[in-house]
Amino acid sequence: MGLHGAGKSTFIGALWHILESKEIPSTLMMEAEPDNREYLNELREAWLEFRIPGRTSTQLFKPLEFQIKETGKDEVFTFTFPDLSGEMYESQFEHRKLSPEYLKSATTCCGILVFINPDGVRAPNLIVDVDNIDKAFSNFFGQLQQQAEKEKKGAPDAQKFEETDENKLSTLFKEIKWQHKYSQSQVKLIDILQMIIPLINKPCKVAFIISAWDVIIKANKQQLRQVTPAIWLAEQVPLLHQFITSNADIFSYEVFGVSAQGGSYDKKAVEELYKVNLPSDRVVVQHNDEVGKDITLPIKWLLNE
Amino acid sequence: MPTCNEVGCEVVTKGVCLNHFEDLKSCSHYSSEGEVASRQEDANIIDDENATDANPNDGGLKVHTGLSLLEEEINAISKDDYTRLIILAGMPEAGKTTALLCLMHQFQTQSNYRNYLFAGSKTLVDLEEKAWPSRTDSKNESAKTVRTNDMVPKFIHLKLAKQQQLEKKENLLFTDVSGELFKTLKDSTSESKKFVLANRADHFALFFDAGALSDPSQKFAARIAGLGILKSLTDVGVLLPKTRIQIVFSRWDLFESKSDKDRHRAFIETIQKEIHDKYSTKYSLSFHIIASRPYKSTLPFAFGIDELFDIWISKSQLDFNRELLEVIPQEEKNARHFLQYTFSK
Amino acid sequence: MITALAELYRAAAIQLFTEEMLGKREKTITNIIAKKKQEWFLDCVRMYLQKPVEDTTFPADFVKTFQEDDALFESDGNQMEQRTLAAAIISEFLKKKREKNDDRTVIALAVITGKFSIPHSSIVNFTLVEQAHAFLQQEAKNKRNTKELRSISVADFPSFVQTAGDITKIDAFLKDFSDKFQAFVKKIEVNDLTLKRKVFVLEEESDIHWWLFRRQSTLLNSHLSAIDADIAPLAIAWELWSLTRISPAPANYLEFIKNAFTNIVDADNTTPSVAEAINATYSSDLFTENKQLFSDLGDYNNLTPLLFALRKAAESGGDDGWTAAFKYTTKSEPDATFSRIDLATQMYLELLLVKSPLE
Repeated sequence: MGLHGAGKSTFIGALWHILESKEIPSTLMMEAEPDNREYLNELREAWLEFRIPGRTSTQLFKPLEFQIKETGKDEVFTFTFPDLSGEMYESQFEHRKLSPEYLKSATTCCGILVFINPDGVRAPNLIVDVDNIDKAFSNFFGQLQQQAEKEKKGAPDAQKFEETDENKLSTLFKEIKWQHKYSQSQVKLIDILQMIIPLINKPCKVAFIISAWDVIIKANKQQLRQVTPAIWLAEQVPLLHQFITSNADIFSYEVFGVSAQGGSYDKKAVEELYKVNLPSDRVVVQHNDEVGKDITLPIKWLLNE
Repeated sequence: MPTCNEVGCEVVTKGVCLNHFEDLKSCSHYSSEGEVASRQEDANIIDDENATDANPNDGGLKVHTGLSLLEEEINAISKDDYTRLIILAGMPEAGKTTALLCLMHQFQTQSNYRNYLFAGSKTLVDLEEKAWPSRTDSKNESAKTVRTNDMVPKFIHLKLAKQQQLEKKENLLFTDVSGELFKTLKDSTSESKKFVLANRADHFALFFDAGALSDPSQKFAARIAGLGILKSLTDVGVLLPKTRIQIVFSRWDLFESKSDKDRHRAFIETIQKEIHDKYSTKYSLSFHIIASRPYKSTLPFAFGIDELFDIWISKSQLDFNRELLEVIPQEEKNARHFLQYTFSK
Repeated sequence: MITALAELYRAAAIQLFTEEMLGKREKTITNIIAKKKQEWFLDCVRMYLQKPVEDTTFPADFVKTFQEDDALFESDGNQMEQRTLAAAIISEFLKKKREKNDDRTVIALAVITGKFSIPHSSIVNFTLVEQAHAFLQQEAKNKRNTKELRSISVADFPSFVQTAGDITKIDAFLKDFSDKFQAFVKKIEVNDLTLKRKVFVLEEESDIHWWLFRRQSTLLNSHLSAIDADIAPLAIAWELWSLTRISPAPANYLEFIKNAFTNIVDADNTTPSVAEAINATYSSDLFTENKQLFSDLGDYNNLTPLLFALRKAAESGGDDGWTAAFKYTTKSEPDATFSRIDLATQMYLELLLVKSPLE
């Protein structure tokens, strides 16, 4: 589950590679190769080639499925991605309808992966906050102006900053009418989860995957305070965090930070990624304070009782 | 033909928008011919969807709309869990919806609000749509709340859980209704009698626009209007003594920006006194000043909302917060001593 | 009933229900009260107090019973409505005396004991608790009131007027005398029972008075002041329970408990938690020596939380693991604190519930 751009495709590409290649030891394994592996291989290829999978692929809108199991155990689990594009979830939020296939998945699932991309989180930034910042800036520049005038004693070429309609940034933009897609990310995710509450077996395990986690790790290195995935969820999407916490009878959850890419694919940054010995070495997975490379960790948590 | 569904707007006949939009397309109530046709197409599509739902082969499931709830939908909420009904009353643009949006914003941006966690809502879509004009993404020049149109009572839903007792959930239902309705109630006894929803209200929050009360050209009319709403509903008996009444002086930032505040404050205090003298013996009253979304003011965002929320979440028509009295029966004089024995230490 | 039902339903409805719908509920409730057994009503009490029910089929049966008269009654997503209806059922049950096996006292006591440690603000339709309390008060009075003695007088008997040789008259006289004599005997018998009842009631009073006057615990064979504060709740509750001959408890039982506690040293100094009180009680000689007695008591499970806790403490051998089962089953917090008087009062009422005095 996850909105558009949440990192699901990259995750799948990396996961498919690691499960299929058995590059790193893992207790998870493929039960059998899926019949139709074309799109899985497409995603895997994109990941291996350090590029983002094409968004025009119609395969994005088809459900993806493969069977996995834990080593030494008989039980087989079906890993399902109903819609990699995220459009299905956007559509659910807008049109308030669940497809028959999705209904079937929801009623039979034993766990959910929810992807969130920190870059894609739409937050409720208020105009009054900007106004207050504007006011603070105006005050600040006003004081600077007074200071300058004192020093220059009203020099004729002193220019005063006045906020006019011409230089007001907001007048450059036309008011945008609301559409469902402009809703906050956390609100959409909450509503999507609310929709399936009557359908799922309770309590249902939810693994939140904060994608592009390498960015947060980098930021952590420059700060005294270390942000774990759980802290990120609580601070950046507080409404979602409250929802999942207060409904402990319906959902049990854990939060994982995952960077399947390992870093940015920008020209300069990608050079660092080229240096890895194995493709799986670039994966970063953090759970609480532990940082590792096992991309199957969230799935293992979902599968274990 | 273009249309406008804003009550009282004469843009179609006179070309002037009630909300003062110069570009009529910016007004969410206005529809040009092309838009009307397109909405009708959309309506047809929705109708087709409904037809699809009726098709047993489809198998899909329609979920809650996310929009404000209708009266016939609210019992589904109250049947399941403890529910408090809060009527937000007042003349148009008194700040009712803004207060509600501001409360929701507190949950959206903090780890908890007043030791309560957000536990769900059936009306998230409506809340997002209402909040949109106040967000930077809307590219509005200034924060706005679109006037509520609905004369038919609808409801915004919030489900909350106490932080220390997560299993205990409480629903809050806020009326989402136009100030025009309260104007009608103020002016009509028969309409007031029909407002039976008030019987079950746990809270009746009557909003007075403090900006209007501190404007010499508006203050007397604003006072009469607010008092009129209260009088109307109490006189016909739809507002019961079990309902707690909050008198809310909203948009306090506008009051603070006025000069000659003492005179305005004195006027507001006469309103307080009048309400207290007339209603405090029968109703539980409290007075509040709030500034939900102060504009260029020293007042913080959501000023005064916390006090209101504390009352809304903790008090109810159904509360029995007194201690159970261990009743020692008042026996008749000739009753047996054993039965009326109250031991002294 | 409909008016009362409409009032109770305010907890579960914002928009008023129709009279037709309330009528359906009323019909179902009337049938329930006529047909269902005590255990069903006890589970109703549990549902009202949001405690786990004993009979796992109860929730489905509850729904099915209402669906018989209203096919639209939901089976899920209407927990508040179900609690409201449970309250309505108990309320109606308490109002009408049953001809056979009037167990209203048991149900009313179960409401009072079951609500232990639940904040009043969490109990919807609290009027039911008040009704249960009022019922017990009135029933306590009724059970202890004795009838007036029937008057007996010589004037009741016909006098024999001697007349010459009229057999018919003599025969009639003898029959009349016989009837009157039988009635006289009946009155004597009734008066005998009345007086015995009166003595029984007075003996209960005098036993309790004597216990309080002497300040002596028969149970522990010591002065009340020698009883340790930690076991005082059980000791005093148990003593009063053993002296109580009639259920419900005397109307001012709380005063008796308070008076007894005036003798206990340091009773008011601390407010122990349920866990502390139970652990202290469990490890006391008083409990250890009378374990069998406690295990023989009736089991109302989560409607008698303190006795349940004692039982669990005994099963776990004094290990604190019992607190988890206590919390889950009774929905009460083992860390919740109470005064010793409150604990004693609760214990006393629970004992009365699980083992009604043999009258």
